[in-house]
Amino acid sequence: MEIFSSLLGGFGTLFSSPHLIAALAGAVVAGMVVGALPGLTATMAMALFLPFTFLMEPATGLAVLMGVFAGGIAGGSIPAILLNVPGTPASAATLLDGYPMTRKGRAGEALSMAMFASAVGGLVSALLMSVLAPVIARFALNFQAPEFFVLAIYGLTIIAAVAGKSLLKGYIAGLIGLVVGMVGLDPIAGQLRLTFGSQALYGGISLIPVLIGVFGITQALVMVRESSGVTERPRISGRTLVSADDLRSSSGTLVRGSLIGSGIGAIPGTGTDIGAFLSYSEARRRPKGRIPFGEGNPQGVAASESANNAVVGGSMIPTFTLGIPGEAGTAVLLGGLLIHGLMPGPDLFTGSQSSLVYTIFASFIVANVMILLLGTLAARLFVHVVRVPNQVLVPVILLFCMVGSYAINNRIADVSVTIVFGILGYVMVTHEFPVSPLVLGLILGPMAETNFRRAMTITHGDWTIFFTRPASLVFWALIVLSLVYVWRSARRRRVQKPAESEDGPQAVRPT
Amino acid sequence: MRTKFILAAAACLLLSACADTATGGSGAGGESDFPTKPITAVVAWSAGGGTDVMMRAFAQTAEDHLGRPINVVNKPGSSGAVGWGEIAHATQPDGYTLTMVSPEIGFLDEQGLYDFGLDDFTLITLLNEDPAALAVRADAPWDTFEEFIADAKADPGAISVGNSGPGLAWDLATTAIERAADIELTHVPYDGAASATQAVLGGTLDAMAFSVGEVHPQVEAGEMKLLGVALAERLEALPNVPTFVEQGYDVEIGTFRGIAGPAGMDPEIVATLNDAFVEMAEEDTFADVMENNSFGIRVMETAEFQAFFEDARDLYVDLLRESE
Repeated sequence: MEIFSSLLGGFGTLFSSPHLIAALAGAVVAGMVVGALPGLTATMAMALFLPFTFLMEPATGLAVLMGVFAGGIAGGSIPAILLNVPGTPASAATLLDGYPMTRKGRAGEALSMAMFASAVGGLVSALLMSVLAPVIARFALNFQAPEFFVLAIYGLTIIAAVAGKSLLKGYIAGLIGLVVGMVGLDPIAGQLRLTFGSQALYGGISLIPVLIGVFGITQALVMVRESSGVTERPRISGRTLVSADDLRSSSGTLVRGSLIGSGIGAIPGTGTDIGAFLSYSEARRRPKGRIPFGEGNPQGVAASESANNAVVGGSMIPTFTLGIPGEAGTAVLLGGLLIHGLMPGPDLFTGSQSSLVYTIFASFIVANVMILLLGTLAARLFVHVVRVPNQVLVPVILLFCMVGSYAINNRIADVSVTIVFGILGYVMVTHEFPVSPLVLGLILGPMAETNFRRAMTITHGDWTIFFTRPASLVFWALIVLSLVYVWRSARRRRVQKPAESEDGPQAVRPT
Repeated sequence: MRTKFILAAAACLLLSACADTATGGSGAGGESDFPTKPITAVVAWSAGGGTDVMMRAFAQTAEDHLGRPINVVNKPGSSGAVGWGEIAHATQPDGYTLTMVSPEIGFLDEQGLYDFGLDDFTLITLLNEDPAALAVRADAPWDTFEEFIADAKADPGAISVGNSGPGLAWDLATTAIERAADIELTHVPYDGAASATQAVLGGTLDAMAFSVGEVHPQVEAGEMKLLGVALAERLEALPNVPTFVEQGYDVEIGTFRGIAGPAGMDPEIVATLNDAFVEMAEEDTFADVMENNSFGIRVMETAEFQAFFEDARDLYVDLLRESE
C-alpha cells in the first residue's frame, strides 16, 4: 500500500529529528495545560501558538499545531473529571460520569480512562484520515443545509439522555438554551433579536462564557454550600489506573465513540462538543456494567473522550482535502497550512508536498501516543487536586473562570455573561434542573435555525427538501428511534419507581 | 498540587503579559522622535482569520521600519463593533494604538450595527485590495457571465448566490451584480467563505460572491470556475478570468484593508507612520505572506486612501439603501 509507505516515510522524518519530537512533546504538554484551564480552549491554544509556528520549519510548525490541538482536547477532561468543570466545550459530556467517579474515590481511574480513550479516538481517526481521507471528504460534501438541520434536531433528542431525573426539567433547560441562542443579530435576515438595546449583545451570547458560567461558577457556588454543611470529602482509592476489566467492557464503546467522532469531525461545521454528546447518548443506549450512567460509569468517560479526540482527526479530512475547516481548531490549522505554502486539495496527498503531509499525520499519531503516556503520568499528580480543601479550591476555580472568560475575546461583557449564567446555573441546579440541555440548546439551536432558513431560502419555501435527500432520511430514522427509546424508558421508569442508588441521594452538582 | 500551582502561576503570567499590551499609552513625548514606545495594533476579529494573519505579517515587518515593537491584540465581537468601537470612542489619537480597517466601518452604522463611522478614524495607509468574484462549481452549466445572466433572466430568483451575512460586503457585491446586469438572484447568507464553498461544492448553492482570495484555492484545484472579477483590469494571478467591466457590466467592488488610528491624529505622526508602512509593503517577508494567503497587495498613501475609502463608502451605502 502506497499510503502506508508514505506514512512510514513520515515517521522516518519525525524520528530522525530529535528536536521535532521534543517540539511535539512540548506542544502536547502545553496543549494539555491550556485545555485544562477552564475557558482557555484548544482553539485558543492553537491561535496563541500560530504566530510562533510562522518562524519554524513547516514540518515543526505544523506538528506543534497538531500536538497543541490533540493535547488541548484531551487536557479539557482533567478539570471535568476532578472538579466537574469542563476545560473545553469538548469535555462537557465527560463530567457527567467522570465527576461521580471522582466522588466515589475513582479519580485516578477516570483520568487514565479519559487519556486512554482520547488516545484511541485520536489513533482511530488518524488511521481513517490517512487511508480514506479523499473518499470521506467527497461523501461529507453531501452534508448540506437540509442535513445540518436534521442533524441538529437529532442532536436535540440527546437532551433526553442528559436530562437526569426529570425529562420535563431537561426539556425546559433545553428551551432556555434555544432562547439564549437566538439573542443577537439574526444570521439570515440581519435583524436584531432580544438584545434590549445593548450593543454588547449584538453579536449574540457565545457558548464558552455560558459554559464556564453554568459549570464553573455554578460548581464553585455548590462547593461553597457544601462546605457549610457536613459533607464527606471524596477519598482517593488505591487504584490510579483504570482496570483491565473496565477497559475490556469499554472496548465497544471506545470503537463506536471513535467512529462517531471521526464521522462528525469529517462534516464541516460541527465540532468536538457535538461529537462527544452524540457518542455519550449512543453509549447510554447500551447500558453495560453495574453502575448506571450519570453515577460514575467509566463507559461514559470512554464514550465522550474517545469521540472528542476522534473529531480532531476527522476534522482534518475536509481541511486537507477540500480546504474547508471541519471545526474551529482546524480553521486555525488551515491558516498554518496556508502560511507554510501548503495548498489544500486532493493534490496535497500526491504532489510535491505530500511527504510533509504524511509527516503531519505521523506527528498526529505520535501526539496521541504521547497523550496516553504523558497524560497518565500527569494524572497521578493531578489526582491530588481532590484533596485540596474547598476554601482554597473555590477561589482558584472562580479566578480561572473569570480570567478564562475574559481571555476569550478580551471583553469584559463575556465575564458578565459568565457571572449571570453562573447564578442561573446555581438556581437551576438547586432546583434539580440539569444544565447540559441548556448547553446543547445553545450549540444546536442556531445550527438548526440557520440551516433550516438557508434551505428554505434556496428552495423558495419548499420543505420537501428535508425528506428527499438520503443523508437526511438516515437522521430522520435515528430521530424516530431515539424518541421511541425515550418514550419506552420513560414508561419503564414510571412503572418501577427508581431505587435510590447505593450511595444514597446524589450530591447536588451541575450536570 | 505544587505542579498545579506552578502551572497556574505560569498561566497567570502569560495572561498578564498579554493584558499589558492592551493598555494603550497616552502622553507621548516630543512628536519629532515618535515613536518612543511599543505600538498596539488592535485586530477587531479573532486570531487566525484573514485580518489577523495580515495584521501579524504587517506588525512583524513594520517593526523594523519604526524601530519599536508592534504588539497585536485581538478584540473580536459583534462583527467588529467591539475592537473598532474602542478605537473610535476610547483611544488617544497619539499614534500608539492603531487598527486595521476594512469597508465595514464605512457603512455598518447605516444599519445601526456600529455607533461609529469612517469619520471616527484617521486613515493612514492602504495595504490590500481583494475584488469580489462570482464563483460557480466547475461543472456548472455556465461558462461565461453572459450565459449566467441569460438563465437568471429566464427564471428570476431561481439562481442562489451565497454571501457572508446579510448587509455585509459580499451581500452588497451580489446586489451590485444584480443591478449592473438587471437580474434577480436569491441571496443566501453563510457563516463565511468556508461554509459557502462547501455548499457550492456540495451542489445546494449555485454560486458564491466572495473575494477572489477566498475561492482561489478551489479554482486552482479545478473544483470551481470564476465567471468574472469585479476589478477594472484582469488580475495578474488569474490572467484567464475576465472582468465584469470588459464584459460590459459596470461592477467594481470588493474589500480592502488598511491601517488607521482614532480620529484627530497629528498629521506629522501620520506622515511618519505612512512613510514606514509604504516602505514596509515593499519587503519580501510581507509580500510572501500576502501571496501565500491569496491577498492582493494594493498600497495607497494617506490622502489617496481617504478619497478611495469615501468613494467605496458612497457605493456601499447606495447599494445598501437599494437592497432595502
